[in-house]
Amino acid sequence: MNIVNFATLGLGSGAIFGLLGIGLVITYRGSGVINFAASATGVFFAYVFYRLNQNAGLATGVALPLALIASGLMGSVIQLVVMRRLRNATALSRVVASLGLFLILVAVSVLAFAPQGESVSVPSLLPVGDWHIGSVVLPQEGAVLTAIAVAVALIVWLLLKYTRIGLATTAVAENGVVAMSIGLSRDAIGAASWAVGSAVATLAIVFAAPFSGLNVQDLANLIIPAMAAALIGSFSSVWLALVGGLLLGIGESEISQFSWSANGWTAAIPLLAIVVLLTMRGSQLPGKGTIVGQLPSLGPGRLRWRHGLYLIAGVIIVQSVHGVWLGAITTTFLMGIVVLSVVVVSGLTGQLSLAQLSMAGLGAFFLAVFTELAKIPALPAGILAVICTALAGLVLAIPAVRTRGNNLAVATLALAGVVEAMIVDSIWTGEHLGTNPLPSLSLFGINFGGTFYPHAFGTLALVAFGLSAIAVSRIRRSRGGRQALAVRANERAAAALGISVTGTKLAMFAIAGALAGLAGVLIEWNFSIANFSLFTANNSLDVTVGAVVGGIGWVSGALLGSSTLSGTVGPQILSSVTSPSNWLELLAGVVVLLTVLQSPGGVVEFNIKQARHLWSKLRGTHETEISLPSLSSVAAVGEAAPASKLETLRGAVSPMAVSVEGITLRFGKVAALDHVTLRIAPGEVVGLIGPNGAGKSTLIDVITGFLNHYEGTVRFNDTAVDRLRPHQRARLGVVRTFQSLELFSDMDLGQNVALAGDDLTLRGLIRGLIHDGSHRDPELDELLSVMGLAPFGHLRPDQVSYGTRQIAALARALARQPGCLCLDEPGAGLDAATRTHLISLLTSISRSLGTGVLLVDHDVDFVLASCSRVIVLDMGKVIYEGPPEGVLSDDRVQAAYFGVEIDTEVVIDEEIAGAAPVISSAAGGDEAELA
Amino acid sequence: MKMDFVSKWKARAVAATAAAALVAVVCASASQAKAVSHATSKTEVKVMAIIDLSNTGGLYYQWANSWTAAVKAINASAASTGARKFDLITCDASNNANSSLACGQQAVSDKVDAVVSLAAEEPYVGLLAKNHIVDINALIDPATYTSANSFSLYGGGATTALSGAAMMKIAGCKKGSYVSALDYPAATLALFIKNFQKGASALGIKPAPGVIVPQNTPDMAPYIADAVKDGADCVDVSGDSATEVGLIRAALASPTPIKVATGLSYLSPQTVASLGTSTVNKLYVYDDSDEPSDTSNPTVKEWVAQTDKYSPSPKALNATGAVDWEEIYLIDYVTEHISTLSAANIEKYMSAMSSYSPGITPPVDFAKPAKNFLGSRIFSPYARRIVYKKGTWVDDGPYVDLFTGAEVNN
Repeated sequence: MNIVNFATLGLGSGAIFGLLGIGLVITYRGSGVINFAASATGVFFAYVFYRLNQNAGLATGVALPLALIASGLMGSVIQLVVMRRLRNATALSRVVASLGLFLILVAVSVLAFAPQGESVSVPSLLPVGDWHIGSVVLPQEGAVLTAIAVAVALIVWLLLKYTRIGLATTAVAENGVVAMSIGLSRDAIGAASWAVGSAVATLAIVFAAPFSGLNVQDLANLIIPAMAAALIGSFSSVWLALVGGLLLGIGESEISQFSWSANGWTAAIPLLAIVVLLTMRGSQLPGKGTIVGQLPSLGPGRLRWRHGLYLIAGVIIVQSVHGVWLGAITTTFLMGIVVLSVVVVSGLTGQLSLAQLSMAGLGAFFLAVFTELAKIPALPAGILAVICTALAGLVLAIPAVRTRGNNLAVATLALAGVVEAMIVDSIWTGEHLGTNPLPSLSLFGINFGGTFYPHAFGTLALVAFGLSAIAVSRIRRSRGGRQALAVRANERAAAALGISVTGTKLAMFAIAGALAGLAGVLIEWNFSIANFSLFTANNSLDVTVGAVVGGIGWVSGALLGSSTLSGTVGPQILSSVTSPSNWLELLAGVVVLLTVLQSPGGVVEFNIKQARHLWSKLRGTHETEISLPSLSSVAAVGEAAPASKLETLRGAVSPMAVSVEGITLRFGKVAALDHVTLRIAPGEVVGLIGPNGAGKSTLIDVITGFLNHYEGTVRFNDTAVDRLRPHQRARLGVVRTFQSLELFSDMDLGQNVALAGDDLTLRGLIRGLIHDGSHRDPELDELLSVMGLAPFGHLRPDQVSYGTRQIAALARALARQPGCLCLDEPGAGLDAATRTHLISLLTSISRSLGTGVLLVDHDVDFVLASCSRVIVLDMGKVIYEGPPEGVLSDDRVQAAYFGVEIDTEVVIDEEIAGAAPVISSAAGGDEAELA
Repeated sequence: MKMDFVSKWKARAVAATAAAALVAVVCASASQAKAVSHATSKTEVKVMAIIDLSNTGGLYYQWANSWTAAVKAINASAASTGARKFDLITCDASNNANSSLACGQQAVSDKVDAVVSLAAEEPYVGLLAKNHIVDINALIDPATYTSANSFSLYGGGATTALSGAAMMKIAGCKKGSYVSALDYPAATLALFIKNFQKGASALGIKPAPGVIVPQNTPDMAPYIADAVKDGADCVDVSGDSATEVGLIRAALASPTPIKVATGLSYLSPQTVASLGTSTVNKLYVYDDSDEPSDTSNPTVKEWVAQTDKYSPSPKALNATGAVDWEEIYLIDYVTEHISTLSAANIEKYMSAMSSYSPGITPPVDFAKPAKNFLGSRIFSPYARRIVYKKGTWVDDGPYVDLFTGAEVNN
């Protein structure tokens, strides 16, 4: 019976988590923002409500609607004034902006309502007492609150499903651009969703206050379990968010009754369950059409001589100061290493981790275990702790392997909560660690224990930071780092080249884990007794905020970012000019918000831009626009090297036959491919055409492993590859391009091509981390020349025409030295000259290298001119296979395309004359029709 | 070409690192050669106050102000009498162990004569001990329970759980549990639970397993249910300013009727006012100093008057504020009794103090710590029950020794 009674006791907390989760879901659906400020908004307006109700004597029926409306208005204003400006910023910038709002709202609430952090008792708006049903005790307040939460979920669900604004919200959630194109205002929908989300959050806090007392900090911190609830609902389902909240509350309550729960399990188990659920629900590669948001800007990661001088200057400064300044500088270096780990995992690899300080906490924990319990001396214990944290980084990477974006951010936050529960708040830790002095590090007769030898330790921290920064700079510019950048930019394209997305993520998380572990070990060596209080989930969030403020893609931003954190130089400077007060906390929030609004790329990038602008003004010069020849002109005047030059790749290519045998693939009840059988022989260019939805791109997905739930067999050189994943198939030599090109947006075209020439195995990745990536092999330069890309190699994809990007995508695929190429609409968007150039290239590729080519295109003229054999798909079935000249006269083909017989002569003549060119959009050619 | 670049880079990195390391080693050696020893004859008593001002929601400013009030009062008096003046340096430990340690290091480099502290963590205790600087503190960090330079005028954090056990004895409890929602390090909370269990046993109360409420929990009813599920008839609840109301509410609403003990230090005046007299007096509230309402005590009157006159706002007319105020007067007393002002002489004198009556809290004997299971630096393990009458707290009965249950007179 205890189980039932503890379950009912969890209803109150669960309903509050669920309500907050519903608010988060609404806001996210309408605006795409994870609103970390939701609970803080609720706290402010809960105070407003109780002041109106308790102090001003306003009836609940009046005061509550007033507070809810006011919070809704505030939510709308936040969306329209702040979040709208960040629509094109990175997901992390938006998260940090909402964290800045959180800080501001908490500080304002403290200043206005609770200047001494006090909690006051407020009467419940709901019935209190218990209902007894047999031996089951049902707390009335929890039960009624659960009913209210269900009612709120129902109302929101009905609004979303049956009202115009609700349907519009759903449309925006699905695709903001398309929604805008049909006349829906994203601003209006965003403002409405923020209004409703904020009002629901306020309602949740109004009901939470009687349970916990009306206070600022603890109620605002409810955002963490609320995030977990919303995550269960995938930030899209209000019902699942409610269920998630209830499960959290009930789960915590159930676990609390066991004696072992005091070791942190009460909080840890529900959070772990969420992470596991999320991980199981995810997929290794994002789905087709997954929108890759704006990526954080990247610094160059270049090392210069002056950086060595900075290091030496740093040592001199460390030796010159003492006391609180020395402590602040030392802490800045220590936290700087943690921020560098954020740069690796979030900046370079694009994985939103909010748990890097928690990883440092693991390093600290391992060190304490090794020294206090296992009695291992300081240095080997430290090394072991760093290694163990790197391995723990692999565990943190597990959610990253199967989730991405905001979901990953919240999952890592949940893991930070687990670390806090298991290390910071665990009785076991308290009883076993931190009870005896930690042995301090001693090297070359010098004691580096931070408590008694702060100058030596400060120097150690500086050198450790310097070496870490060098290592991260090195990774940024290495070939291995280039793989991480590819994964960050586009996981599907990376896998198509043969990069193991999973392996790359694991490697980068392990590196970030090692860095964080190093910071954790050093933080402990600062103390004479182990201390873990720093490693909370909230502080871990602060580290990410600091990293974004400094510039999450900039190694040089790490120190600036860490300087904003508690105990570092920034607060020390502030405290030297003014006394600590609640106003400073407000100022901190404003600074964070303004920084993100002014420069989403971080302060370092902003400063560099400003400095460049100033420099060009001083020199009286203006930044000139790039002026380049068009690709077609390069091709037309013969500046591109002759395609026969591809001969240089001949030795490296192992031609491969690809067979597709009886492939059937269904999406639900629809057969996208129906017993398709075909073969691409080495040196053969096979055209694959068919109307929209025929299954052409799907077949390429099947061959290259992006879709693997098919029946039938795919063979490479007679070996079945059905169990192989995309990157494994690519490594065997079958390489593809995409309709949407999927070039890596933050690499120049030369790097895009060079990456494909790298050793993309895991061993290559690890070796690549110490090999400079700026060096390009001469063969790749020649390839760029052959493709006519030489003048464009230093430009990013967004700086060149669509046609140039098409050729670059083909060049990148060729750089993999493929045995067989699957090209998805390579002719789309090309002008006549470039298309001719492409036909010449394809002919050379097949004839000179022996590479088989499967060519999917809507441009029949282009296909007929390029291919030796044509296959036509319709409704997933092969309806024609034979020579190009027979395709247009085939009755079934005519029926598939036009539904009636037509005069094929006319069509061919018109296309050859260019009167009806085939147009394919950048987003994909499926929208285009055979003209 | 590639090798050239790599070699060049390696050369740069190695050169920079080697240079930095060389400077580091030289400087580190030099800094370790410095001896830290000083004894000067001074007219001004330099005291550092280490306190968690930032990151505590504004709660601690009032207590920093209590030190300030005492220093201002002493300096005002010294202006006319020619006695030593005080120089109070306040260092914000920021609720951050790194900052707290840096404050201790600042105290050493500033050559302060004494430290008064109110910080959740005191990683500097060993450092101050090595430099013979006394740390007069609130016994929150377990390191202060045993360090030779640690002094306290009350039981503070160390005996707070024992006070709950003493209240349970007054309430006639048979079995009690300690429930904490304090945002303290696990080591501290683990010790609190252990202390409670030992203290309760010593007073004849059967201890139940302790319960720690995780942060971010709005409804604490499950944790109270857990505390009493094995038959406990009393709970001692400890929450910080944000969590105390939730604990009290859940405990008083428990389906199994239980008696609830708690400390006044966890109850802000605003919290008490919001709970109301009838609810507050359902609690067994303990405190370890005389209440401001005790106008029969001249020291209390002086404390209240000086706080009113000299303390910046917010003012702390509560136990912690009283003890902070007493701490400055303790240092004043000691410096008046030593010929040469130095940190080491203060420590030496204090360690030999056989009797000192601070006035608001019971007398202490620093030469003879209380016989107890906590540590060698527990000097004043006393608490008394207080009740809430006519909007003010009133002493209700004498102080009791938390280890023996014996009554103690102020």
